[in-house]
Amino acid sequence: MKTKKRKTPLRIMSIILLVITIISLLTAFARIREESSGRYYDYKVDDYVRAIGWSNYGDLYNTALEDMVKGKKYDDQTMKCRNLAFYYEQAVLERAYRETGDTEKADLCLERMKEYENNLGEFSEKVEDVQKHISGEATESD
Amino acid sequence: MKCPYCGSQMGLEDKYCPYCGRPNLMAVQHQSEMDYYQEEFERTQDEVFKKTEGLRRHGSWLAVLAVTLVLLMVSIVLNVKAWDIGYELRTKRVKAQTEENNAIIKEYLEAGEYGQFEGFYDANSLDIDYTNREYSAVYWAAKRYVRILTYISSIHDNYNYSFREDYITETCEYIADDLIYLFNIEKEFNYSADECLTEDKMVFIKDIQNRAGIIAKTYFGLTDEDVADIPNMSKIKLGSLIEKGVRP
Repeated sequence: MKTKKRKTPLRIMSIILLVITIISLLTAFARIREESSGRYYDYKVDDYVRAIGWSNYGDLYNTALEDMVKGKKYDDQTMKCRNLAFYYEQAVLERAYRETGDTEKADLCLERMKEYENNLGEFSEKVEDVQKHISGEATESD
Repeated sequence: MKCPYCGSQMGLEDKYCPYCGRPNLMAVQHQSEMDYYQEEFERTQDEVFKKTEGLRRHGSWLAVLAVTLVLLMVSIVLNVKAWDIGYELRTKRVKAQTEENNAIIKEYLEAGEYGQFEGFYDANSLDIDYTNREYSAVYWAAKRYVRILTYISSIHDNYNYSFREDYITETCEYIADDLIYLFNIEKEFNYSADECLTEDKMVFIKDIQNRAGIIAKTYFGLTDEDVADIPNMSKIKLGSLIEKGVRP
């Protein structure tokens, strides 16, 4: 008849310590990796869409800039969101240049706005909303 | 060996002489000795096994425990030093890509894409390399400019939420702070003017200041005189002016 091997205290302690050590090592490597990348958050398309959903174009613009990681590939949806962010930037500048009389720069901004607008996909309906937010005409019902 | 009876050759293992058939007494003695030594060996072996049973049973686990303790100490040190190690690795990586990065940011600046310049500079930790600070002043100017841009849409919406009034006041203070810093950037970087405020960098900085001034006039109701006076204004005064310009 086979006798069951007893789990001695030494064995139990070794297993527990081994598990703790593995977790500690993985944690250390994850922290080193995060710190060496300098990025504590990797933006996803949901972050962009959320900002658009709230009509928070400043936040959208900020997200697009903070997400300018070298070598990062953006999917189609994210690219459209980024185009809307940069449309916002150009729209702000376009109004500022036009109202202060610099039509040449205003026209340049308008050109860029049209380029971005042509690549907004389903977000092209947000163009009007951006304009309202810039001009102070946006209301909660928008 | 030879048979003591007939003198013919036989082996030590032969129990009887193959020729005369008489018993081989030498073989009997030899076998008895072999049996005795075999018993002794097995008894000694059993004794050794019994004495070392504890060590054999626990030996491998003791080795595991020793290695685990060493690894645990290493992991504790790595955890404590994680920030330093990561920072060092990041700095090395950025330094190795200086030329490539400078070419990219120069493209953004020459195209007047100050927002994207700031985003790229920040997202790729280019400010970490203290040996390459030539674009630092431009970066900090662009950073303040970007913050002003991000405030415009929220400060101009007409949403009705309970803390809107406080939000507007607070945001106007932030905008004032950004404008004052931006328009005083030469003073901020005076200590490293040779590196950060060279003629080519000042072209970009002046352009950013110009844009911020135009934005301040359009969106915050400042006059030309107000904009010209920004470098000398206090944050409270400029904040009030902006708030007056923003509120309907």
